[in-house]
Amino acid sequence: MNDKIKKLTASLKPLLYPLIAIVVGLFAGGIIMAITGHDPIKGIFGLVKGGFFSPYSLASTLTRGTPVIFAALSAALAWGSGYSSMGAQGQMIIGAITAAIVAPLINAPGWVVVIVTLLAAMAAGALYSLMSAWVSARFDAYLLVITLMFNYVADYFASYLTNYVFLDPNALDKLAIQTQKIENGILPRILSRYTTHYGFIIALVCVALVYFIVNKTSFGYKTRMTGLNASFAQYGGIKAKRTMYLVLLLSGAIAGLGGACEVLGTKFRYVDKMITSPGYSWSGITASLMSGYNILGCLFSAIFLAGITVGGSVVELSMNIPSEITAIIQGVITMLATARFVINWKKKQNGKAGEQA
Amino acid sequence: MNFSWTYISAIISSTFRMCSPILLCSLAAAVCSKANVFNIAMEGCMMISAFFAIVVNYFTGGSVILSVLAAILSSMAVSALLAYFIIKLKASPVVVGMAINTTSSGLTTYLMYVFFKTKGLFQRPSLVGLTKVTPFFASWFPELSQMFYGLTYVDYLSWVLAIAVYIFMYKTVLGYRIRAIGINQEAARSLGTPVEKYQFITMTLSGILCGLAGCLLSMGSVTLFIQNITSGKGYIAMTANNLGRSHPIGVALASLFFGICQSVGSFLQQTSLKGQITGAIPYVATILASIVSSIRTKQIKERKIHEAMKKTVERQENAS
Repeated sequence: MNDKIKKLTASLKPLLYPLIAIVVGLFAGGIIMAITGHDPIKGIFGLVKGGFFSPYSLASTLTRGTPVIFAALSAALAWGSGYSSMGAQGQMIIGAITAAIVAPLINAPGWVVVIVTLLAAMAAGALYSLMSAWVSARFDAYLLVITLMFNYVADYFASYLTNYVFLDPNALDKLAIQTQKIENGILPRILSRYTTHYGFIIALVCVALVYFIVNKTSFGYKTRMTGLNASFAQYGGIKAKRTMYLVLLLSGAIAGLGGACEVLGTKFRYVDKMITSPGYSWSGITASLMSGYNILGCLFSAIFLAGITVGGSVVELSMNIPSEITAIIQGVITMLATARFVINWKKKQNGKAGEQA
Repeated sequence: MNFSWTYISAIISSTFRMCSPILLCSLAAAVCSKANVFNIAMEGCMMISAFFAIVVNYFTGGSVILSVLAAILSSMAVSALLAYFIIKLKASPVVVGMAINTTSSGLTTYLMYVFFKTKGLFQRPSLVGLTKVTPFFASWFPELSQMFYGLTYVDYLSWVLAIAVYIFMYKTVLGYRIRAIGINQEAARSLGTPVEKYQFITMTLSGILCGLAGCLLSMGSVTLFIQNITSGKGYIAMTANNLGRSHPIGVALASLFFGICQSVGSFLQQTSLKGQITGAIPYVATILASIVSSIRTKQIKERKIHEAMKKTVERQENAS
């Protein structure tokens, strides 16, 4: 009986830290609301209510959460293996623009188009991730900076393609920078009344797959070991370079898939800045950090962050609180995400001191 | 395209203007990495200080000195917060740094709406920019004065600061101790250097540099605040620091290179090249620069190893 309780608490433990971070993050958001003259309790309640408390808002949360889940998975894979890649954004952009270009080219039944497009986007995302990984590994540059630079380049590149090569000629709004609408081969909605599309199901499948890879395969074990202690892993016979390329390839493929799902599921075309301005990638990275790279934790954190973002835009309309409040809450949560390592670290230190004494 | 003298001097003046924020930030990064702290929050510090410079500027009716002071203080506060998390709480510098960068983007937009009821762009005629100065010798030749067109005193100050940081790091006792931390933190600690205290001070002081850089962005060549005004300059500064091997003079040269890339990029916009291509130039240049720098580092290392081997061989031959 006691063992069972212990097991239960051990399995719930990964959820504890994110919960603390969430509570403190919301509290900090409330303080900022109070300072700027808004009712914090109403504001915070509005955020959560706007994101989760009605079927419609829950559906928009899941729709918005879909790319965030992909980004979170991509980040959890890379960061959990010790490679601080910020490249999810660039890879999502590349995946999205690839999907928007490839899908109209294929003349086949809808489901074939979807599969081919998604595969193409995955390949493109993986390739883009490999490029940044290669530059960083071969030339010994910070992966973080290199991936950030690749993000900017991807954004300009996609913007160039949409502006000058694939601009929709039939657009009613001449100012809209977007590619041609995809008619055949979109991801349909799960329920016709709500915006949530099958991309969400694909995201869930990805979560399961990545969970399996990380926790049940030798490759996952290797990546986790590299994440814990890179030199020790290499000493133990893990080929660090190969693991790195594989991890970043996989993480790029997932990000690319996320971008493609966003194109095929919600926008049906590439719209300039469609990945950059909603900040999917940063939400994803926050989600993976606050869950400590735990894959299932990523899923819930991603949905939570998407929820308060949806709630943020509701609160902006109803209470005139700028929706950026969610960005601030996210930032506070991220800062606290590593404060958790502090607790662990201090415990270890105390333990060591105890042993010595 | 007409490559007249006016054109070239316009590029030079814009190079200086683009260079100085990067220079100030990369000096901050250099000082921090000399003290063995990984600081990537220059982007956030710059954005916060650029914002508060404009806020104070607006509410004091255009007091430049107070705005600069506000920028420096706000940036120092952010740096101190970062230092507290990294040094006292032992949090991951990458994660906290990135958190500060993105929070500052959200926070400035949020506060922009609270203060000015607008998001995106804030510009008012009542805002006063930094005073523009032309050096006295420039008036002797009209061509030279064009070259220094639109430079503010903070732009000049950034170069003075590069030299000042060099003197501080390499010619003073405090600088020597800070560098000792960077070379071997534990050895420095065993010699009685209060490592954490020095790191904290170094990071907070690096906030001054980022604060000045922020001022230049919002009150330099234009006086306004736009969302994400820094547009990755903090990260470019990190690469400049890497490229210049954290030495103030090397860092200054690397920043000059990125300044040239940015100004050439913005000038090429007037040609037939598309804005998306020219806009990407600074970022592509950053990637290429890291590649080139690593190849050079490797060459230097190989040469050193080669020389060392030669010496040992000679010594052995002499001994025998």
